[in-house]
Amino acid sequence: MKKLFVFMLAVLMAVTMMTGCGKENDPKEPAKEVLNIGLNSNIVGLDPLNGSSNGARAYAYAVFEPLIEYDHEGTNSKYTPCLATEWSVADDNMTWTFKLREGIKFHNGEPFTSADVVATYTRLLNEKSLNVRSSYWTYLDSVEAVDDYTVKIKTTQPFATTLISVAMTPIMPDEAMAEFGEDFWNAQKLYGTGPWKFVEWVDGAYLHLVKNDDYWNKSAYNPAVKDLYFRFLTEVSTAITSHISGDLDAYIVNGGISRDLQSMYKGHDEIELITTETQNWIYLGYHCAGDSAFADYYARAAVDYALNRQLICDTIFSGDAKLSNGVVLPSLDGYDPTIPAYEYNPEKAKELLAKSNYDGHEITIYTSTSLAKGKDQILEISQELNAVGFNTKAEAIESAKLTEIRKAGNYEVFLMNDNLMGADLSKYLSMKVLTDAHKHEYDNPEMMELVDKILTELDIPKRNEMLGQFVRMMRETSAPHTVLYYLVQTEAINKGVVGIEMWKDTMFSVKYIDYDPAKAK
Amino acid sequence: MVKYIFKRLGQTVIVLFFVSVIAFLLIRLAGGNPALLLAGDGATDAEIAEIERSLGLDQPLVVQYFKYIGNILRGDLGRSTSYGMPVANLILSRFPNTLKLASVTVLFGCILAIPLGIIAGSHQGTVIDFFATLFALLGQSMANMWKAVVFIYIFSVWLGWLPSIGMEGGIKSYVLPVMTLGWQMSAQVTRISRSGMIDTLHEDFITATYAKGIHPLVVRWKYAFKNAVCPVITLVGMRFGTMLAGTIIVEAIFSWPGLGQLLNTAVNQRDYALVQALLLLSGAMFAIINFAVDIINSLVDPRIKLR
Repeated sequence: MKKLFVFMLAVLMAVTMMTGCGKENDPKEPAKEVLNIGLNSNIVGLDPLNGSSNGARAYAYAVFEPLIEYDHEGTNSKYTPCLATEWSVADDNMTWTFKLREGIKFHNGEPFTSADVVATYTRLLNEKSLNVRSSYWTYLDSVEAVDDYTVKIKTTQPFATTLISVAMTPIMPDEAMAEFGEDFWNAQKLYGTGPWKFVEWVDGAYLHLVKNDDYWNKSAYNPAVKDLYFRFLTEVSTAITSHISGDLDAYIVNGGISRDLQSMYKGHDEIELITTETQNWIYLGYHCAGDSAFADYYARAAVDYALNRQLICDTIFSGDAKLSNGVVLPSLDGYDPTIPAYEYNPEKAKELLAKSNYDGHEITIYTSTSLAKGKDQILEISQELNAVGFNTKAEAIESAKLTEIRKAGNYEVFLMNDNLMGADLSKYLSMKVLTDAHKHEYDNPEMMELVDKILTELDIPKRNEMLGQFVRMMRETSAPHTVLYYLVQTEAINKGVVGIEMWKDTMFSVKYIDYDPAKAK
Repeated sequence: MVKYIFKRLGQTVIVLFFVSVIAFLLIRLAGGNPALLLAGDGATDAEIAEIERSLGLDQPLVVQYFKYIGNILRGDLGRSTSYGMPVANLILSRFPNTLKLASVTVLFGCILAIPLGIIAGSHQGTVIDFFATLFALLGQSMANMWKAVVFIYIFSVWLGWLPSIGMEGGIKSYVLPVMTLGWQMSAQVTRISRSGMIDTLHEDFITATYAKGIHPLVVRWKYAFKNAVCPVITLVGMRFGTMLAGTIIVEAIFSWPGLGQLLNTAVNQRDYALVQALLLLSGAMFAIINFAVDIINSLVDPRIKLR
């Protein structure tokens, strides 16, 4: 027994020693030189060109900077100079010239020049699976340094949203990429030109940034905040409890904090609930070929009338979802208010279904378990479709599985979301309609021709008119997608914390974050 | 004894072999193609095939398995596809955190629960017994998620004593996760040691020791406890093993960078190398702990190795 006691004491001492070597500077000081931003999804890597979550992107755009910045309003965006001071496009609409800002230094003192831009874009050309490449640079052709402070970026065809793509491409230092390769991010040696310097990332716990005292644009942005932490808290309800305890200064949830959990903030006036009408829309995607029931126009049209969209917005989303008349949402450039709204009319749905070739076989409505309230939605949708004569069942599967069956075209219909990165339809149109990444196999040359024109048209009013035509065409054919509703996103940010931008495409920025005690009251 | 140890070691190696096969097959049976997830939605079939080739996924399963085992025996756990770095680095950065949390939890859980169970068992039907049973009932029936919310409310929101997230607050950071995890464990330990005590105290040899006039405290803590403790050691070992495999929910709640969260990411991303390594690691942990438990039990109760 004595031996046991001594053993236990030894273990206790060992444990205390292990726990004693925690960090000395507690990041949760009352003075707001330290801000803690809670995020509900982990990041899985630090490569600035390969961030696949909003948190990873927010970090990348705080440490690294693009040539120009924009406000994520689609083609309606205002573009502001960042690492480039001016830009122009040649008459061919494919060759873009950027004049770079002189005198900028990376965090380690290296000068920023055209070589950095060329190295960054060369990576995009070579590594096709990089997120920034696959999301924004399908049409990237070449990059070339004219002199130390001028670069030319060429696209393979005129590309309407080139400036959005430029604004979504953070510039990395060429010396570091040459010296470290992927150790630049894997071994956490990161440095950029931005107002925040990278300190460390403890996977699953936090990511730490410090203020860059030598920021080139200090006259415009010189925050009082010195330390910025992203804290990864994936359990939303307990994270909210942590937030109201004061351990967080903001909590940003992918897709927003749902209505039922928002009430936990009641009585905590120091925290403000910020609501953004996003362009994160939910749709049904049809397989439009072969034996699929939805190869038939009448079956698809029947779905449009069978669904009570408003009911789902009001009940499942408690009002945090809204209706639109098609794939271009009311807040988006190119919206046409003269297109009629979707109509809930089960009788008409039955008539349309009767005209179809649908043989009554069982249809599985898939969704991903990672889509918020996805299962609830497909259960309701399945019920509404069955009420007009379809024979459907609902099945929520892991997103890895959904990706697989979609790639194989092995489905009839699925429910998913699209958050229109950059708040423009370009990526959606090129990936999900034109190149048909989800194998809808919808055969409509007229629609594809129109999409091609939209993608290449640089004249915005003309492009918007064509977007209107596209929405009408999608409404008339109900293919390859039917839009259900778009989401309103609510995040919790402490009063006094300023400069967190919540954008329509669900991305957010902390690049210009600060704390203003006057606003905390 | 030596023969017994060798026999158990042999069994452990066989168990680990089966764990490696299961770990290898399980994630492949789950469906979903890692190459597809890596390539992204827009990738062409040729690009996906190229990634499959580079990951070796185009080869027959048997070949893949023996390559994987061969690499492990050479100390190479492979490369995580989702994190883009060596699996060994990821596990090494996370495992100490899980080990610390699990050790502290088991330590405090035992210090609290074993005496509580013994006292409750030897004073059946008293107030102490009632509270011990209530403690065990609540600890086992409340979900960890709920306990965490309640603890954060009390100790972080109301009292403001303890941090609710992270592990850089030193010893303070341990209190809430350890309480959340430890209550459930100590509830089970209390129950088992209580019922073990009750059973043992009804045995004939206890009556005999009482008859010899030995002090009741000595009877309980020396003679009865020794006989009741084997199932407790087994249980504590199992719980320790489970915690070492990572505690997904508690880690997620308290932003604790342990193995559980890593496994969660790995499964979602179909990160074969990482999932396999984590499953194998937790299998190995269990095997080692079971081995240790058997040895300890055979020391405590020499009858065991005869069976």
